[in-house]
This record gives sequence, C-alpha cells and structure tokens, in this order.
Amino acid sequence: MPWNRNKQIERVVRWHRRLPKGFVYGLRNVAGWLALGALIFNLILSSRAGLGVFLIAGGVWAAAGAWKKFFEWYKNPPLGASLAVLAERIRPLNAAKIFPLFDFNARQILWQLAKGGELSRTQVLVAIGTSHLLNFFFARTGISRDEYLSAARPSVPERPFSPEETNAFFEKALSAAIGHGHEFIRPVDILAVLFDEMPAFANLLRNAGMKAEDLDHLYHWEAYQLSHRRRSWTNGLTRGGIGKTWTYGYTPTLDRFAEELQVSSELEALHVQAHGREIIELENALSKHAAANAVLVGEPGVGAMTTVLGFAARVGEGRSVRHLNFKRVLKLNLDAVLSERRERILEVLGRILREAELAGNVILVIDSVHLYLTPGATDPNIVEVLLPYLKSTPVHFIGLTTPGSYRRSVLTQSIIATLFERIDVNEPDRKTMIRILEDYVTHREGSFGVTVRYQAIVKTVDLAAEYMVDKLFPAKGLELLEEALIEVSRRGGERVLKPEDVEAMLRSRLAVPVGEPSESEKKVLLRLEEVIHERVINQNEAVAAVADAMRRARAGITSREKPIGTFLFLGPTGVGKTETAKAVAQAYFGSAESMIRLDMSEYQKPEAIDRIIGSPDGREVGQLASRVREHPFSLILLDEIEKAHSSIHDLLLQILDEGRATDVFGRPINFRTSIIIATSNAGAEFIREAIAANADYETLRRNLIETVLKSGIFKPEFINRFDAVIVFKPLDRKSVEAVSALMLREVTTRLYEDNYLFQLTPELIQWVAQNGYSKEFGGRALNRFIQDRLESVIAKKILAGRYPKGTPLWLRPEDLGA
Amino acid sequence: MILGEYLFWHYGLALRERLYSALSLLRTTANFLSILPLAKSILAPWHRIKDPYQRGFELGEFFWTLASNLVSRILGAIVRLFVIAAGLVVLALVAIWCALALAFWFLLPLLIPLTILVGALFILT
Repeated sequence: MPWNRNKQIERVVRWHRRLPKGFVYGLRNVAGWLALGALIFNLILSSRAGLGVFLIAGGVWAAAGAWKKFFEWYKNPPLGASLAVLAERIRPLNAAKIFPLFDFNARQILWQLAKGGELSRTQVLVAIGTSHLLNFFFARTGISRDEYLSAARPSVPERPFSPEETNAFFEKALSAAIGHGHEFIRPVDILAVLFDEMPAFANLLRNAGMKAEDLDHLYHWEAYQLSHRRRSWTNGLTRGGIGKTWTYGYTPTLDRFAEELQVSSELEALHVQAHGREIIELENALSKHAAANAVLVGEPGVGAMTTVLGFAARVGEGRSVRHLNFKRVLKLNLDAVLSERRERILEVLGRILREAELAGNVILVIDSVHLYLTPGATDPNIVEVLLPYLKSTPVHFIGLTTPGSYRRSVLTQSIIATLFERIDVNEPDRKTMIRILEDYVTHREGSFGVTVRYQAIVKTVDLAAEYMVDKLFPAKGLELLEEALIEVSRRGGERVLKPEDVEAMLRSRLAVPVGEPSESEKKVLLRLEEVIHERVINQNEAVAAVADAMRRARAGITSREKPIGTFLFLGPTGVGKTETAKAVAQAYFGSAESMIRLDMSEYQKPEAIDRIIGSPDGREVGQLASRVREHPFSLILLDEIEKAHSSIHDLLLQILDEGRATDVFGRPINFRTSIIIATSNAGAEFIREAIAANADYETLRRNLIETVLKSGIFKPEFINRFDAVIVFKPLDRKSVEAVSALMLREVTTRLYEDNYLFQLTPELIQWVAQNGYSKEFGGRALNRFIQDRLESVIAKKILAGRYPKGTPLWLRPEDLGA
Repeated sequence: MILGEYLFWHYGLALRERLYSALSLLRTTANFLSILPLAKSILAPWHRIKDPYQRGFELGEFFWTLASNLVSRILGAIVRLFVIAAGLVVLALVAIWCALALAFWFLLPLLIPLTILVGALFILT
C-alpha cells in the first residue's frame, strides 16, 4: 500500500521534474512583475489590453505560487508523530511499512532503485552520490564526487537485496534516524548505515578525517544554513509595541551609568544553543514573585555574558516569558558609579535604583558582582543601598561571577546568597561546540573570504580541548578558529581553511608539536636516541626506553587520557638522570627550559600538598598547579620523589593514571600534554653492588624494583602507574672520561664565543676524569672539579691579561695544580 | 488525481495555515500598536511621572501635587486615546486585508482559470 502511495507522489514529481530547473520560481517572478507593470500601464492609459495582461499574469502568478507551496508540502507531508512513536505503532516492522517514513529525497532514490530491481547497498550509495543531495557534503569536506563514486563501486558487482535484506536495511535506517532525532528517515541516515556496512565508504571518510557521526553534523549544518537564509524576514514582527514604553518610567540617571544590551538574533543564534538550558533557568529565576534575581556562575570563557546576551535577545524580541518580554536589559557600570565623588556615590546609586524601580521595566546586569557584594569591598559600602532593591519585585538583577568568587563572596553572606538564584554556566560538550562553530562559520566566513572545511571545525574543537587547557569552551574554540581564519585570509589564491591550517596555527602559537609530525620532526623522532646521547653518555637502555615512549606518543598510539609519558628514573646521583630529562625536553618541546622542576625533598610535610595544588585560604598558590596551567607543554621533573610526603604520592597516582587533577578551588589541571619524570636515589647501593657482580640490565631492574618495594619506599601501585621504571647505572671509567670530555667541550665552546681559543687535550680529559669523579656524587662532582680547578685558573689568566683573545691556550694538568 | 490531491491540500492544511497566519498578523499588529496595554493604563500618569504627597496636611501643597499628578494623567490619557483610536483604524484595515486574503485563497482554484480567461477576452476583444 505505501508503495502504491508512492506511485502517486512519483507521478507528481515526474511532472514537476519535466519542467526546467527553477521554472516555477522563475515563472512566478516574471508573472508577478508583468502583472505589476500591466497594472501601472492600465492605470495610466486605461488600456483593455493592459488589463487583460494584468489578469493573465496575475492568474499565472497566483497559480505558480500555489503550486510551489503545494509541491513543497507534497514532498514531505508531516508524519504527525515522532519516528520512535510511529515505529512502535507499526510493529512488526517491514520495508513496506517503513518506506513512507523516509523523506522525499530518500524515497525518490529508493523508489527509483526498487522499481528497477536494483536495490543494493552499492546502488543506494551511488544514487545518493550522483544526486544533488551531497553537494554541500562535497563542498565542505573536500572529498570529490569521483573519489566518492570510486569508493562506492565495488570491484565485484553486488547482488540486489532479498526482501529480508531490504527489511533489515530499512529498519537500520529507521534506527539511525531515531538515534539522530530526525523527523523523517533522511538520506544521511541511510549513509550512516552504509558507513557501518561498506568498508570502502567508511575508509573514504576516515581517510578524510571523518567519523560516522560527522555525517549528521554536516546534515545539520546544511539545514542551519538553509534556515538561516529563510528566517531573516520574520524578525521585523517581533519588536515591542510602540506604546509599551509609555507605561514605563524615565530613567535619566540610570541611562548615564548603564548600557542597553541589544543583540541581533543572528549573533544570539551563534551561541544560544550552547546555553539554552541556562537561559531557561534564568527566565524561571526572574519569574519568581519576590527576590527574582539570578547569579550566573561560570569560569571566564564559558559564556556567562553570552547567556545574558541570548536572554536579552529573547526578551527584546518577545520570545521570553510573557512578563519579561520587551523589558530593558541594562548592564550597570558600577565602577563608573564608584568613580563619582565619595559623598555622592550612595546618593547616585540610590537614584539609579529608584529610577529602575519606578520605571518598572528594568533588568539590571552586574558583571563581576562579587566585587561589589563583599562587605568592605567598596568605599562607601554599597551593599546597604543595594539590599532593599534586591528584595523588591519591580527590579530584577542578574549577577555574573566565577565559582571561586561566588564561594568566597556570595556564599559567605547568607542574606545575599538567598536573594540570588545560582545558575551554573558550564562548558558546552563536543557536539554542541561543533554546532556553535558551524554557526559561526556560516555567519563569518564570508567576511574573511575563506571557505572552511568541516574537518577544520572538528580539528579546532579537538585541538582546543587538548592543547588550550588553560581556557574554556566556547571561547577557546572561537578564538582558535578566528585566528586560523585570519591567517588563511591573508593568503593569495585558493583560500580554504583546512585542518592542517588549524594545526599550523596552534603549532606556531604554542610552539609544541601538534598534528601529524613534519618530515624534519619524524627524522628527529627516528634518531631520538642519538639526539639524547648528544647530552647523555652511555645509559643506553634508559635512553632507548624514553625514546620509544616518545615515538609512541607522537605516532598517536598512546592513550590520550594520560600524560604523554611517565617515567621513574632510579639510580645513583650524578649518572645523567636530570641530563636525560633535559635532553628529552629539548628534543620533544624544543627547549631544555621547557621543564618544571620540583625538588621533592622540600615537600616532606603533610601540609606540603598546599604548595602543589594551592591552599584554601589562597596563601599558597600551588606551584605545580599554576606552573602547569601556565606551561601545559612541559616536562615535569620531580627530583628525589622518595622524599615527598605520602599524600603527594597519592595525588601523583591520579595524575599518572588519568592525566589530570583538580586544584584546591576545584579547577582542573591538565597533565595530558606533559611528560612526567620522577627521579630517585632509592636502591643506589643495590645498583652498585649488582653492577659489580655483572648483573644484566633486565635482572638488575627487576631485582631493584623488588628491593625498593620491600623497603617500603614506594607502594606497588605507585611504581605500577609509571609507563616505565628506568635504571641508571653508575658510570664506568670510559663513561666518566666521555662525560668529562663533554663538560670540557662546553667550557671550550663558552670561551670560544668570546674568542678565547682554549685547546682541549686527551691528557687534560683523562686528568679531569681521574681526579674529578666521585662515586658518591657521580658526574656532579666532575662539574664542580672543572669549575674549581680549570675555570678559576682560566679566569685569573684572563683578568691578569696573560690570555689574549685570539691566541690558543694549552693547559697541562701541572698548570692546574696536579 | 493530482487535482484531487491539490484541492485536499488547498482547502485542508493550506487553508488552516492561512487562517493561522491571518490571526498571527492581527495579533502582531495589535501588539505593535499596544492597544491593550494602552487601554489598561489609560489613566496612568505619563511615563509614571508622579509627585509624592508630603507628610502632614497643607492645603496648598496638597492641591499643587494633586494638580500636577492630574496633568500627568490627563496628558497620558490624551496621547493614549489618540494612539488607541489610530491603532483601531489600522487594526480594522489589517482585518479587512486578512479577510480579503482568505477569501482570495478560498476562491483561488476558481479565480485562476477565470482571470486567465477574462484576461484573454480583454486582449482579444
């Protein structure tokens, strides 16, 4: 039966299709203008022929208009209930029952194929791809129609669906449409099914950086663009009445200190979908009988002011709650009030609030409201003046603040807290964020002269989430996209914003490796051991383990829910643990300075945790928290970790496991873009003994961990959280010589920069290695020895003028007091 | 068959939509002209300008306040009455327009062939 119904639709559609594209629209326009012209002509010349033309053209104009509307309706008559409800009603499901639930475009494609007996996955995919339906998809993804069709056509022809297969296919499409919340089963739902069932199609999308869910995002974006073009004419009807303001009072003083928040619905649409819930909560809060005030609590960047702007737009256009509609939403500048002469401040504020109350149509917005509500925060104290008005009904207040400030300034004053209803403004989720950026692109790409690929939007959201950890959505997403748009708009030629452009923007902004590694970076990663060995002597196993972990991270194999790499370096003092960390920072983050170094021996007491994540009273800023927030792309070196208090070990468990922690104010700290290296001397003696007994590296490592666990220095769960426990062996004679040579070469280089030509000899290197090395302090003792015995002598020679620039200087051990 | 479908739509859903559109236009016009709020507040002081009566009773002061408040109310009433009257005229015009549009839609299936036919007759004769 439904298939028969489709025959009917098919006939109308076929008839309609025979007309040239745009014929009906064109005919209506031409007829309309002709009728108008003929009417004017007839009015001037009273011509019968003119009247005749007017009547015919008018008739054609009316007929074409009616046909256009009829045809639009006929394509997709409303189903009358949601798909989920209809699916329940028509159970048990089969293809014939599901078919009428497809939208016009999908029905056309399926009907044409079914008529020819060719309903198969390939045929459906090809039919959708060759129709006009994917024009937007191709334009926004950069996938060409040819690529799509070659992925759609299999090497072996596919046999048509059996009736059972058709039933199953339609049912899956129905489920996809219900899952997407669609009104009809649309072609995009069919594509979602084909993504699951046709690997070649799925690969095509994956290679273009897309997933199945992106199909639905693209469909919504296209629908939004179309709706945006259509709706502008309706805005004129939603303004407040001409006489409405006459019933409200004048506010001359208030107008001097406040700014009217008026937002066009276009701008409002940019973000309002991210804050729909908050706007409704705000409307509810302001609808109460008494003390109808609200405070929006959110971190900077989550869009608290945007929420107010969205609310103001709704109020201004009469789409809010009835008694709030067409009221004036004013942002009160209390700083300007406080900059009046001291003796006038309370009088001016009183007048402003009296005017607002008498006017009867005022909603006052106070940004950073906590700055004014704390007793003693302002001089004179304005809270006493504000309080009666906060309790009154005619004036509504909307305050904006952050969670920390709310806790400190509002919650601590029970009277104030009861007068404001708290509304939390949270970050939008990924899906909403993609929609916000799609809206933004719709409105703004034209002004930049840039076409934005869909994948660039998704990349913006993902990269901002991963790397701009100190900021919040939607602000950080909009900021990154806008910067990338500006950059691309400066280019000549084809100006298309691709995901690579977003990566490049972030890479240049943060100076961190983002996105696919470049060719030069790949080379560095592949020879990372060599790069590290330029600074670190021997310790081959340790260097290899670290290099492997780094490669895994950049190749994208490791979990994104953890830090890039976490290592526990065990070994005696002065064997290269810190130097290895510096080398890793240099190789991965581009500078040895990208290192946050904490000496954990300073964190031995229980209260030391305050110095890590901050103290509730704000006296301790939280060294690790603040530094990681400022430099999220750093190597965190925790020296002598065994000396830290056990509460810090517990905190580290979470950081190592989840890559995040929260500071004392509940703000998240992200460690997922950090490398964490903890060093410890624990078991140093055991290592020396094992090396003396010629134990191999793996046995040494295993036994050392056992020894350390037995001694109770670390808990097993702590050790297990690290990606690798790496043992640094004491330096042997050859290594000590190599380290000495490395350190002496550094001295030579430093002197050479000032044109002092200090000459290094093997004899000198050997002498330094033999005399400067100590078992207890390892390489560090060498450094001190070179300073005391060599650098001091050279310094004296320079100051005494016995070492002129540009002349070579040879020093023998005897010259240095040997 | 298509004609049947068309007529079903024309006198069903499409007619209902037009009816809603006409009512919406009337409501929007009434809202724009603020006829109801102005009628409700016809004797209210102009822009809420009102002198408060002083404490205690002093005849001169009392009459002065009364007079100035009365002026405010009378001024408000005059302006509002004028706007209400003008608004009602506009509303009536809009109502007539809506009725004509509905009638036009109702008669459209007949009017289209009729206008074309009459037009052709005008040209040919």
